[in-house]
Amino acid sequence: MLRDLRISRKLALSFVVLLFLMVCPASAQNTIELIGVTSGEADGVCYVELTMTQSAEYNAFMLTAPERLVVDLEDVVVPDAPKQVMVENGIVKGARVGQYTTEKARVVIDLDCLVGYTVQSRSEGDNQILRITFSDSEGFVQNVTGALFDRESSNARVAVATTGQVSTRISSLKDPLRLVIDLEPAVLVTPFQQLEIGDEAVRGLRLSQYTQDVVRIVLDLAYPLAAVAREWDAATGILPIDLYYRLASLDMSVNEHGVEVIASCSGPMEPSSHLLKEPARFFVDVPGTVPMPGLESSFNPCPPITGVRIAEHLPGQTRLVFDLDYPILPAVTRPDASTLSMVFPTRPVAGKTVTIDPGHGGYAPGAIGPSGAYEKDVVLAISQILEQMLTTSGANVILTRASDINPTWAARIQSAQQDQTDLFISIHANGAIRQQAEGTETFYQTGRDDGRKLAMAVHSELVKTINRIDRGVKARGDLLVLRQAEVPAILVEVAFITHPEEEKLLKDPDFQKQAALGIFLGINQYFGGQRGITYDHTWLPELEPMQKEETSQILDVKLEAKGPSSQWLRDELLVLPEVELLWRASKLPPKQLERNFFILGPLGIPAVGLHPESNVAEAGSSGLAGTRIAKTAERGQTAFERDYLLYMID
Amino acid sequence: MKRFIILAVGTLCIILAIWGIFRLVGPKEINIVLYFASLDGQHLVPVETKVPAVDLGQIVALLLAGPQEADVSATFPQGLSQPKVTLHDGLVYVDFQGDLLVGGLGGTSGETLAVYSLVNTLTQFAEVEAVQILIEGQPVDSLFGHLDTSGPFVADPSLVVGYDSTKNRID
Repeated sequence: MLRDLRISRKLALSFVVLLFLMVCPASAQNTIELIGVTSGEADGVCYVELTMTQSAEYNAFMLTAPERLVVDLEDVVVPDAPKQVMVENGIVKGARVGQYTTEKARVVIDLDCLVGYTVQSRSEGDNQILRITFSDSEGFVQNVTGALFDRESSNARVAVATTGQVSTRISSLKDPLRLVIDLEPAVLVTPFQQLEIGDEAVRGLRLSQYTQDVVRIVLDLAYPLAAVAREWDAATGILPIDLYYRLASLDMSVNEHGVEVIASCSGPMEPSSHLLKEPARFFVDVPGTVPMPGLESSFNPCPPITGVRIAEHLPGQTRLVFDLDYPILPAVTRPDASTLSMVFPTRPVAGKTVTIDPGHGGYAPGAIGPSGAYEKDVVLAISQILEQMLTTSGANVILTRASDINPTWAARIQSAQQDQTDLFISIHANGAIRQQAEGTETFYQTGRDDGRKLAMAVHSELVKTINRIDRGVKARGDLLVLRQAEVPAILVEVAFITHPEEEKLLKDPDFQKQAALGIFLGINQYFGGQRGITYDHTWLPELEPMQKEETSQILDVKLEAKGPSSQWLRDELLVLPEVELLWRASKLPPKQLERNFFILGPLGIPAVGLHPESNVAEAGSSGLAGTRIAKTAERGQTAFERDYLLYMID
Repeated sequence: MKRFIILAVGTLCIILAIWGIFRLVGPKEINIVLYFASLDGQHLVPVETKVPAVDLGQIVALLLAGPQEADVSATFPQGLSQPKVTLHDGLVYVDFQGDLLVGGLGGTSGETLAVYSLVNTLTQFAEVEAVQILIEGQPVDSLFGHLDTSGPFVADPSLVVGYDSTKNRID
């Protein structure tokens, strides 16, 4: 019985072996073998190729610490596994091949660092080859290791750390407001990330694997934002995604002040603007924004605006260009941080003529500040800015002087007497013996209502723009330039150059611009325009830089000294009788000229001062005059605290 | 008759002597007003002072020297040469040296207060109606480019601190 059983067990075993032998050839034929692991380089990128006897299903994924790519091959056996394969090639340090389960082979490619990859399959003869290529180019599955939010003033961005360029898909979601950035193809190699952000626009950031090859970044927003992905930076491994507010709308309306354009942004904006001539256009740059598509075509221009052009001028900077039919400076206000209002005046001063009279000049410095600033210089600067503002608004401007000269008072008011102008505005800086006197005051001719009206308009705007002490509008009957003016005439004392702080301000180009703006706005108000607008004086359109006149060209003058006509000057300084002096200013650079050259002549007795070291010194006796004048300076006469040679002429 | 004449002459002598004594011992000091600038440079401020006699040159010298008081400001820079002051037919000529024009003064306010401190001070005296400013003997269009100084000035009470503009207004 036992024997029978043994025989039957043997039989059964034989049967099984037989069965196995029968099935085996077929099953051996169906088994996929991994027969080769090689590496190579093509087009500058390196790859690893897995050669199999047939095509197999695979799954590739990246692991970190140490960085490695794992490729699992389904139904693949590896003969004589496990083994190491030497495939060192660039980023690939080696490969290990093993039988993970009986039906799954695993290839681990050890890498130098995380890198993007693709897996492509192709057949070659009887074999099937899987090629795994490593690259940071777009289209490769890139690894996302993190994302951060960062803001530097108007530049907000999400920095995504990836191993290469990935394509982005950006969409917005409402309730609550979110911005969704999908990165594809990409895998997140760090855990889900969630950040709270205390930014004006961005409240939070979440980073997760959305689908198998899509990494999703969700930004929780306070304002609607637009996102623009930039080029991946290989040096830092960062894919920057810039976040911008959207310049959402551009509305235009016409009211009694002019044509008002209101630009609104999806968040706070800090625009800057410029006026350009030829052709006349006003442009506004809004950093940190991108324009809403279709904004341009929705705008119907109205004179003085003849057209509008809107573009992302620089990455993340919207430029609005308003084409104008004449160069005019709009009044700009900021109703709130995300809104910009521009009122293009319908020419309140256009066609009018305004005479601007910068006080003093040439040998008459006017009042002198404690640190040595001359009234003649600061008032000329203010006058030239004002001239620019007026001309760009369509007005004609007569400047009584455009350089450092001193026209006679008769020449100054000539245009105001001969009906050539509509207004006469003399611009001065005040002075007092006591340094503490400060503030702004405006004078008009006693008994002249038109002058009073002009003075009130200009003064009220000026004190608003420069915000100094208001000394009021005053009627005087004894001021030279106002006495005989037939047109409305005023004399504006912007501030005290003898007051140390106001001196500093008067020298400051921004303050000069504010002062000019105040006078400009006052003139507009006088002509009946722009009343009732509250101007934001802190935000000013940029003006074109002014061309400074080359003084050296007009100073090639012949100075003839015919002898003394002032006893005091003769005694106290120096008089050279009968000196004929030809002075070629062009030999001196203009800057040196300013320092070394001085003309004194309050009585119409000009005297010329030159530096002893200049080439002119040989015309007179050098040295002597320098000491003489130093003596004068000791008496507190600040005008001459330098070494000058003096020549008297009539 | 002779006695009468002697008596008359004697009486006259006594009268003259008494008058003479009175002249000598009488009040030596006269109250006058100097106008200086308010500290903010807006107004003229009258400052009373005593002088032994009305000497216009001396009064101008006092004005140019500046105030003793701290609550008012000088109207002229320090260290100017003394101008020549002459009175002719109610018009005072104040003839400055050229040093006035060189430094320290400027601005409409500075020039106005300087000129009217002089004018208002000098015209307080009945014999002075107006003041003509000269530079080295000559009238000038303007000292510092604001005021018309070519002709004589009369006092401007509106510059004096506390002036009530409604009082003397001519509409």
